[in-house]
Amino acid sequence: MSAHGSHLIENPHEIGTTGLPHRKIMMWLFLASDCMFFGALISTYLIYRGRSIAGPTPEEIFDIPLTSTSSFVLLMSSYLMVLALAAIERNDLTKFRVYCLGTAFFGSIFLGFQVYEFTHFYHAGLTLHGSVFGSSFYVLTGTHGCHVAIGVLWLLALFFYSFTGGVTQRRALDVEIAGLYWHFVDIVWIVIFVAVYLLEYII
Amino acid sequence: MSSEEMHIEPAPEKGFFDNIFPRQVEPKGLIGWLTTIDHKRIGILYGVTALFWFLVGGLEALMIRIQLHTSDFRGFISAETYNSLFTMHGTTMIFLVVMPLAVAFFNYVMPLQIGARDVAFPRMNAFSYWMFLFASILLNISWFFGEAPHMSWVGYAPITEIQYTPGMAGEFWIIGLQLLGVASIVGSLNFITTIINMRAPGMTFMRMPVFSWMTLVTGFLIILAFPAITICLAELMFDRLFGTNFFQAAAGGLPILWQHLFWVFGHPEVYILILPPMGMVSEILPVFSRRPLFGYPLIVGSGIAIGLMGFTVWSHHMFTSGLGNIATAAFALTTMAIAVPTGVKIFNWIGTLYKGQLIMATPMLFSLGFIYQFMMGGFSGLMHANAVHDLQQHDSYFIVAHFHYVLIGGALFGTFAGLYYWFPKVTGRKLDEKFGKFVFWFLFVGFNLTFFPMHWLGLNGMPRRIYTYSPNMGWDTINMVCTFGALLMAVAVVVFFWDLFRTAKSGQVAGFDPWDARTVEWSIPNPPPVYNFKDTPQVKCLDDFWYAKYPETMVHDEDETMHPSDYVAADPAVHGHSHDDHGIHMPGGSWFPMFAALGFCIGGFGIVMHGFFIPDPVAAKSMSTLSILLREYWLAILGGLMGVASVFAWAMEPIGGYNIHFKEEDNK
Amino acid sequence: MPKRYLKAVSGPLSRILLALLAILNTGCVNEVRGTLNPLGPVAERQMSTFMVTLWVSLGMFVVVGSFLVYCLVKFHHKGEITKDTPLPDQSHGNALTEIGLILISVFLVGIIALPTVQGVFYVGTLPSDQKVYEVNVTGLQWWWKFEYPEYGVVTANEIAIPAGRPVKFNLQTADVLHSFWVPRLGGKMDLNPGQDNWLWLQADPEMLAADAKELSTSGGSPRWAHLPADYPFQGYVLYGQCAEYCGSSHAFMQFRVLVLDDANFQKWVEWQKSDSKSTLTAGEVAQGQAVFMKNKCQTCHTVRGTNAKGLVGPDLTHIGSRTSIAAGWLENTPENLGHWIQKPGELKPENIMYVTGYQHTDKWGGLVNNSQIVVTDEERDVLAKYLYSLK
Ligand code: HEA
Ligand code: HEA
Ligand code: HEC
Ligand code: CUA
Ligand SMILES: [Cu+2]
Repeated sequence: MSAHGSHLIENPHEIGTTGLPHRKIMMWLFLASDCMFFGALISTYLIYRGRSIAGPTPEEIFDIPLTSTSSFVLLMSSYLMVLALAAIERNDLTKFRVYCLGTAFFGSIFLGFQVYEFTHFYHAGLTLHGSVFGSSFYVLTGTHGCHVAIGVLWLLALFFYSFTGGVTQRRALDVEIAGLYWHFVDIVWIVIFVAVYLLEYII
Repeated sequence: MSSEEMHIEPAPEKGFFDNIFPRQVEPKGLIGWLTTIDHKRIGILYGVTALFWFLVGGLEALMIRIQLHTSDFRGFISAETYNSLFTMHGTTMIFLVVMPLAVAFFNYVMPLQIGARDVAFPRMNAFSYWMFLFASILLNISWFFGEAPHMSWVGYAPITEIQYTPGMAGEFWIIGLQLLGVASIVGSLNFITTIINMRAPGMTFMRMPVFSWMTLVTGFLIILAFPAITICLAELMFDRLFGTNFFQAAAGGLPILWQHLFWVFGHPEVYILILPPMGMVSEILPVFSRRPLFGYPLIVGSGIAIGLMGFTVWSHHMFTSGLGNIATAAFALTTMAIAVPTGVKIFNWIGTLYKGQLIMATPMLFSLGFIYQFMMGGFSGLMHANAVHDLQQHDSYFIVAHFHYVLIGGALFGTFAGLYYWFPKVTGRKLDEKFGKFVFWFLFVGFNLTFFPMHWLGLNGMPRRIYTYSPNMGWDTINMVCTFGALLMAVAVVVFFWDLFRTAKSGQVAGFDPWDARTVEWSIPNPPPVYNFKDTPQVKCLDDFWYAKYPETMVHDEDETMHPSDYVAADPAVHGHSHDDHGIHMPGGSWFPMFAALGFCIGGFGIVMHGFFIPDPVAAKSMSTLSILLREYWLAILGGLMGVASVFAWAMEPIGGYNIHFKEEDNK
Repeated sequence: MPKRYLKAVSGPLSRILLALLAILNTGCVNEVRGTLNPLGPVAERQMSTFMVTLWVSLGMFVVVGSFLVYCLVKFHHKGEITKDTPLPDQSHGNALTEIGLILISVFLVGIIALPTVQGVFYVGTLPSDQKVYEVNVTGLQWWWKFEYPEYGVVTANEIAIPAGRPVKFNLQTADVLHSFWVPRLGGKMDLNPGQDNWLWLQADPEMLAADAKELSTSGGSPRWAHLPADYPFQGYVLYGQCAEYCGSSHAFMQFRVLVLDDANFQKWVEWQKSDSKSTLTAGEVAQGQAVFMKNKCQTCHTVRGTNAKGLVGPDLTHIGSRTSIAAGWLENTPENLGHWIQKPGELKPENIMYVTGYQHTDKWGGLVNNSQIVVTDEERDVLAKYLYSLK
């Protein structure tokens, strides 16, 4: 992210050989690992594509405009996340709160869309145990949804914590790390959106 | 530098949770162990736990061997028990013995080798340990429910599906492995961060001891490989609990997917098991040959190469699953290619011995045994890679021979070498040489007697995972030999443990630097003080400690100076490593890592037990899905909540701890 | 080229090694015959590529191992090390040696790789120059169902194949994974749910003859080599085995392969196609059938020509003609048949016949079903006699 000197970090123990804070390194590592989780799930989904014996099929139930909208909302939340981090690095607490809450709000909207979609699909006959499409679809997008939900809770925690003095310029790292996670979850969604939804209309 | 010389002062901070479960300041006794976040203590806990499970896994192996000692021997254990025995034996040995033993060394030795105060996230480290401990207990209490997993350590779907393995056995296995996976991933995130970011000033990557290097590579393998098994276990769990169709062929699922996902994890896993012992051996050979490691950059490079290539070969476990000719040939080739970097290691180890001054102490003996036996195991691995004949070898005792050669002859012998080598570091006492040699020779002879003949059994058609065989097959004599060998190993193991206890209590005091070693962990007292290094070492070259002792042996192409950027990191104000006016700050012990692990494991147990809480079908008719789920999984939910709450409390905990001040005159 | 290449590398060497292994073989047990004594082209090809790998590895092992031992002997330092002991050579690498060794390794791997790839395609491709016989194999916990689609023959746990002819086995499973393995004819192949796996094998008449001769001179038990004396044909019996873990009775999931010459194979097919002919009197047959029906055996078993048409268990039409029962594990004798019919759970843990047909209680003592089969001693004898007579 931005080039802030180590003097901005509260705890000097945190800075190591590479000049980077431990927690940031760990977050990157975790995201690498998380990539493999999603990699395995997406592979499962793709391998099971077209193998279902019972319906409904993806084309029958997907609503691309709707999901595109929710994807757009999630993308925009990433933008707000960037603004939130920039705000806290400028020590602008008010702006930080606005953007942070905004990010969480957009994330919640995305989740709302997903809940709507799941209920809709369920009523259209797509169940967890009905077909391999159902199983792999719900587990993949559900896992992603859980990631978003955790992100929302995390952002809300930061938001409330900012009122007790827990989020400051010197601790912008906390926000940066939450941001890394949030952007990752966002990018993964783009991949899922392409591999699950758009693919049906490409090939 | 004993504690009398220093003056300890608790840090002033106090926080809300401190009232209930205060952070511990210099804790003693049982509480000290339960709340410890000291990497050295956690290392010891890992080691002791893993050695305990080694006895359990070994006992299971002995029962297997007794059962197989002769044909049609059916009175001893039933087929079902036998199946549980080999499943639990394999699972235990791999996940509860060899891996955690390596982790014990990662914990204890790696931070000392790189000159760090502790790992990057000490409480997370404690969490990994408790998670491992509780998960291992969870896996093993299945025996007391009469539901020990019995679908083999690879759990090929669909035998793990609810139709074929009803009851709790499946969940015990799934949940146990799942929780162990969490422990491993969390632990590795920690180790990698530590190595990347907490090396002492001057310790560039190319000056880092090989063992730390292998810790790094293994860490990456773990975080990249474990997700695959986590996902396939999760899919299987959903199949069993919620009726999804991932591995249900009738609904279009592909059981073969399990094999792919499992081995995408499984093959890197076997390198996770072997790389740490390779690292240990690479430390030990130079010390006992009194000469530098031959080709250090190549040893490191081949370790990385093995790790990378390990991700490209998984289907060699599936040559008989109908991959098609092209895939079969391709995976055979990638597999064979691994022989090259592995060979590099073997050659360089022998190159280290060449022209050396070999001291045949026990760690050296085990390392030499490692080289020989690992090479044997590697060659049989190469024979499997011959996909044409692997169709004959697969699932026969030839495979059993291969993997015991690499796992025992390789991983376990290497780890034993490490154990003998670093035991003085940990306890300050040296294991007895006479006993050590006895243990080595009994293990060596017993091991080869047990497993070498198995090649022959396999080639003559004996399949694995059979609980008895017909006398017509002519396998009796050889099986008897194998069983006899296993008994020899048992003798060695018993003597080894006895010596371990004896020495830990009252063995010969080792003194400073007992092996005339090369790496910086030996530049501090045995056992090391809590804070490890009073002054952070300034590393000038590979094998810094050796060249400090024998500067004249420095060969001059060695890069002696510190890299400019290292000085930045060495700035104490930034680095916070060497002690200044504030003294050394030691963080306090914490209860929450253990609580969190306990919570998650109770939650896991809740999932295993869910069957007991399913409402009867009549009552269920009038209940909503949600209330049925709540009833079924109340314990799981409760445990999960406990875990989450503990993590939260942990995040909110104050830094706490205490500062250690040294008297002025102690500052060198 | 491939064959000659193989022979050149492995021919003479493998004969020496085989001799060594043969010493080990005869030294231990005479009748052991496994993958090292192939009886067909597939197994032979597999063994010869194995020999290439074995020899390369062995050579490497001897070279590297000897150098290791040399170092241990030569550089072993006896006695104390003191401050005054001069240090050994302190060099730490030699680029040329390293590169050389890497190149040698790559070369050796190449030697193994070539025949491996060729072999993979040989084993994995059906011979196209002659008629290929087909057998559909279905694996079930814990027995085998065999069908000859061409002839409409259905049988269980025992098949016949014509010597010298390639046979394609189409592998399907009805439940979990199994693996079809006849060590002396070739490697195994898994039976995977939802997948159409196949495998081809062939028995070579000359190799069979040579093997039979060797066995008769070495005095080894011919149990696995020849059909029982009272069998109507002459032929060779090989044993097969399920090689993929498939549950409690995996160890007992075996089968037998009769290798017959063309004429006898045709006779066998005709015989298996026809309904069974009992050697008993009509009265005895009627009594046997009655007891069979009374015990509900027909819910699971088929005996063609009678009312028994169950499909859960093995086809029993020609059960009396098989050399084994309970999926290759027990010899087919009236005593074993009786034992099996009365107490299948004793002989084969958790087998489906026992669990769904006979078992009263589960392992905690709870009642499983109360319509279970109880075969009295008299019924057992009648059934055994009746089934054994179904030739
Ligand atoms: C520590 C663990 C470990 C290690 C290090 C290895 C190392 C290797 N393994 Fe092994 N393997 C297992 C553990 C391990 N394995 C286990 C547990 C199983 C069974 C799982 C199960 O089914 O339950 C298994 C199964 C297994 C199979 C599947 C067999 C089957 O089920 O059909 C195969 C197939 O290719 C294989 C190959 C190899 C190869 C090529 C190596 C190579 O890395 C070896 C390389 C080393 C050498 C070759 C020797 C030294 C080299 C030289 C001296 C150089 C010169 C030599 C030449 C150029 C030839 N292994
Ligand atoms: C690192 C891993 C490791 C280790 C160390 C071992 C160690 C041993 N294993 Fe291992 N084994 C596996 C990993 C390992 N195994 C795996 C992965 C499988 C495959 C499982 C599967 O198919 O799914 C397997 C399968 C396996 C089989 C095949 C079973 C089958 O397919 O049917 C056999 C058979 O002989 C066997 C034997 C042994 C023996 C004799 C030892 C010996 O070396 C053990 C030596 C130890 C002792 C002898 C301990 C003695 C202890 C006491 C005497 C005291 C006990 C006291 C108390 C508990 C208080 N093992
Ligand atoms: C629940 C179904 C079921 C019932 C009822 C049943 N069997 Fe079976 N039978 C099986 C199955 C399944 C097998 C294969 C078992 C195995 O080998 O694992 C088998 C195997 C056999 C075999 C051995 C066949 C072979 O080729 O190996 C015989 C003989 C036999 N049954 C006879 C009987 C008789 C007689 C009865 C009645 C008293 C009977 N069975 C009742 C299912 C049944
Ligand atoms: Cu079927 Cu093992
Ligand atoms: Cu492998």
